[in-house]
Amino acid sequence: MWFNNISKDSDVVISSRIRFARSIEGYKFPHILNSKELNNIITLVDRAIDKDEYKLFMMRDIDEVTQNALKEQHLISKEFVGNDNGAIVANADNTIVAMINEEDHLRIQAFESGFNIDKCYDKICQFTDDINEKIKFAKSDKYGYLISCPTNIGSAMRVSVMLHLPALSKMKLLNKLFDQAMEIGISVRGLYGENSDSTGNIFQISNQKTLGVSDEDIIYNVKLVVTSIIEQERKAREALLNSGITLEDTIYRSYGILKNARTIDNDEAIKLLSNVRLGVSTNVISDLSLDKIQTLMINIEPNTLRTILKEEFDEKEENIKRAEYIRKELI
Amino acid sequence: MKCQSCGKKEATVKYYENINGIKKELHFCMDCASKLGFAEFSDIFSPMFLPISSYDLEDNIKCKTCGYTLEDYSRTGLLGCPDCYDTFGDSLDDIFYKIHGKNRHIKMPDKLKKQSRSMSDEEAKKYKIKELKNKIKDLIDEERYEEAAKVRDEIKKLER
Ligand SMILES: [Zn+2]
Ligand SMILES: [Zn+2]
Repeated sequence: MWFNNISKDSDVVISSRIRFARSIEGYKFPHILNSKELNNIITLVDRAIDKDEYKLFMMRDIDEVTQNALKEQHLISKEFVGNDNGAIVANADNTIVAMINEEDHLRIQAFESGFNIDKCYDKICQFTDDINEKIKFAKSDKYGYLISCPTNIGSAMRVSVMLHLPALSKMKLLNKLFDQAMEIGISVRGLYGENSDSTGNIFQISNQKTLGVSDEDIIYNVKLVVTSIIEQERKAREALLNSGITLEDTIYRSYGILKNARTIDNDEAIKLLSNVRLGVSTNVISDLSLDKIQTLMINIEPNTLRTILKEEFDEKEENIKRAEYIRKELI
Repeated sequence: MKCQSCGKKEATVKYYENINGIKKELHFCMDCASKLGFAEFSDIFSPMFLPISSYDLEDNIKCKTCGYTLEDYSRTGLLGCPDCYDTFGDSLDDIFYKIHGKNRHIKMPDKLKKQSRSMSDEEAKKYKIKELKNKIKDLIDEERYEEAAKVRDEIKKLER
């Protein structure tokens, strides 16, 4: 899985992702196709992929909990959950995951841990070029790739980087940074909603514009913004750690609760894990690895937790199971 | 910029409104946007609402391939098929200019795209200049002289 590898800039960057939207020539867009036509699309893609490397799964064959777990792992969109006419194409380690019949015929995604946009780009181009030999994409000289939502045409590419920004957030410096990013066409979103305080301090940076900009320029712009945010976050962490015992205290308290709690809901766990992640990446905590934390942050999500424990349970029980699971992992 | 609804949180969602031909751009935080019911903004690919002038809507043009109209588009934020881009090109050009600041794709032949990944800086520069020169031609064709002049300055900088 992309999230349990640790690589360059992992202290701040959680993962990088590139998404291409593509339409298959000669077909209307998915939202006005009937199920027979939608099936044709899946067949076309199925024939075009290299079966040694990629597998195709029909969405209707995947149970609801697993579908939601895939959403929690950011591998499929929340709109795609429950789409019975959809399919997923993925390689073994899920570094390439394509959704078929989401908003477009194809939404191809490449994932890497850490700050690895170039690797994502190479991989996604390779996959896309390969299937492009068998499938013709709808494209025009004027507008580039023709896809169902006109706001994404042109390169039809979205480059996103997921960042952990607890120090900038604690110092209330995020809004200023995000304003600057927006000015050059980069959007920022909180992963667990807009209110950053209670929710893990994870943010997604991505390009807004897709038309009239080359892939290279899009990537360059995102890299530029991410690089400067990484630097700022590191400076903020240093400043906080040097300004007294408070941050260290918060980190150790969070670690203590996670190691001892008997019941814990998802929000609290994410918030505390965010503090512990900050502790691990600043070497305040040394008996824990970053990949363990990263994996935990995903695995404690409600549906993912159920797929890992291979059990069914209600919400009250869920919090007990979550606490148990975290304690076991943090021993 | 602060959210125009609550005035507290940062605005991260743009909403285009068109009331009787008067276009307005509104900025909201995600919370307010979802409270006010402006569709789904959680996904980074989700459509922004776009201004379509009522004048265009009155034309009532239908896409020959899929039967879609501009009204369908303004309702769903989606087009029906690749041919819609031809059918509604004129209206879309205005819209694209508003969202992207541009309304033409940068042409990059697939072959060159592959090469560019292993291109040297010098080669990349040459390619970029060629690309910009094509752009000037397009701009002059469209009588957008001011922008053409800007691109010419860009080329001069690169050639230095
Ligand atoms: Zn608001
Ligand atoms: Zn059409």
